[in-house]
Amino acid sequence: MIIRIFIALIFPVSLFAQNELTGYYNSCGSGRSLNINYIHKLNENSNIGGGLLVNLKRNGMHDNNNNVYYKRLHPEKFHEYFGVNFFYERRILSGKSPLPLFFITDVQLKYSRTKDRAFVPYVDWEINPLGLLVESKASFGPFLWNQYSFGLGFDIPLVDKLSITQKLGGGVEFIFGRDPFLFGGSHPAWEFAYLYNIGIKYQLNK
Amino acid sequence: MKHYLLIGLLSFIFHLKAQNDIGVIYNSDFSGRSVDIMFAKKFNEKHQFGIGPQIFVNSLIHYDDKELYHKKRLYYTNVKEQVGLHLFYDRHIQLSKIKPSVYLFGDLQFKYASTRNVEHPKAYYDSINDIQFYYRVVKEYGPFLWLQNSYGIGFEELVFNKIVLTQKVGYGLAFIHGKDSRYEPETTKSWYYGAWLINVGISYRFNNEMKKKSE
Repeated sequence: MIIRIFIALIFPVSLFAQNELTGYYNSCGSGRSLNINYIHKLNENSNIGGGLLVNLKRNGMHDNNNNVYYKRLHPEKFHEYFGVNFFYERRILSGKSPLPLFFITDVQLKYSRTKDRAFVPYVDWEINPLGLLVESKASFGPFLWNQYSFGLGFDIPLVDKLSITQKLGGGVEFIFGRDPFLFGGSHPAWEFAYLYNIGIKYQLNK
Repeated sequence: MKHYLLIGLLSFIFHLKAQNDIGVIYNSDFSGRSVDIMFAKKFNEKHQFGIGPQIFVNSLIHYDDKELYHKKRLYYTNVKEQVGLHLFYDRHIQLSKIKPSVYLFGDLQFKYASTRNVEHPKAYYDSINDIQFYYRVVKEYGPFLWLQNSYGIGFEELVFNKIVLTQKVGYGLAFIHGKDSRYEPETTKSWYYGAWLINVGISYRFNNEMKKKSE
């Protein structure tokens, strides 16, 4: 249903304009994904885009920092693999740089659970008077993950209609939803997060 | 001694003014991350050689939870260990349809530094409650001699008038040599690992050949 609405919104504008398709690797606060986006040129300097993303699993943890959410998104069910993202980019310094530079803003939506591994103190002081650690492996959620990012992007023309596209930014990620086994913290939970994208852009009608 | 070094540095920079780049590179390799200052000289249209010191960036957080010995664990404990040496050679290739300037590269990095390792060895097993308990131990091993040799592909692109963006990705071999202070402290050993290399840099070009070409 979401895909149908998305196509219906995008298709009418796509008939009359100069547009692009892009596929890229996305690394952000929740984890990593592969994104396929459709870009519509609003005018000489502005583009809007959006599309689907497929979350990538990682069996090991991204760090040993006992985080609950950061880089811990781990889809288990089929629908948890997919998400959507939208962005707006505005060309900057067009007279000064031969490279197409953009100011970008990006929104990502995902619905998935986490996979966590941490060493935490065992809280029963009668059993554990020395304050030793136990290994905790858990999966929390599913949650709705929503990251807003701002940053810079640029395209490097490769051949006639192809270019390499990269974006680097930072923002905030909100994690909506409660898990009965997760105590404390604010609701929605939130974290600062970076954004890095690298991929290929194809111009549909040059 | 200081005067000789200053004269040497000034003559080197003066020599660089002929045709070349001074830049800063973010380097991510097997040992960890560093910020490198790079002096590069182009010998002709195809060949470029670069050299510069690298300054490591310590991280208290590991990039995985696998309790590895060396990978991404480099941690300097004094000023001497903070600095390494980075050398590279770029061979520019002419691809008629590809717009950015593409090159194949060979890259060599020397370091002499310790590691910092966060480990969770087993403490004891509580059979009554069926719980395995662990310690948390932070240890420093080494120092080791680190040598990484990588090969790969890169490209450079003019961002502003004389400012060039460079990006490289490669793969190679990381060689580590030193006393095995984690397992056998009296034994000197060598380790070999396959390793990725990623470099992103911004440099200033003294004699902008790229601009001339595009004009």
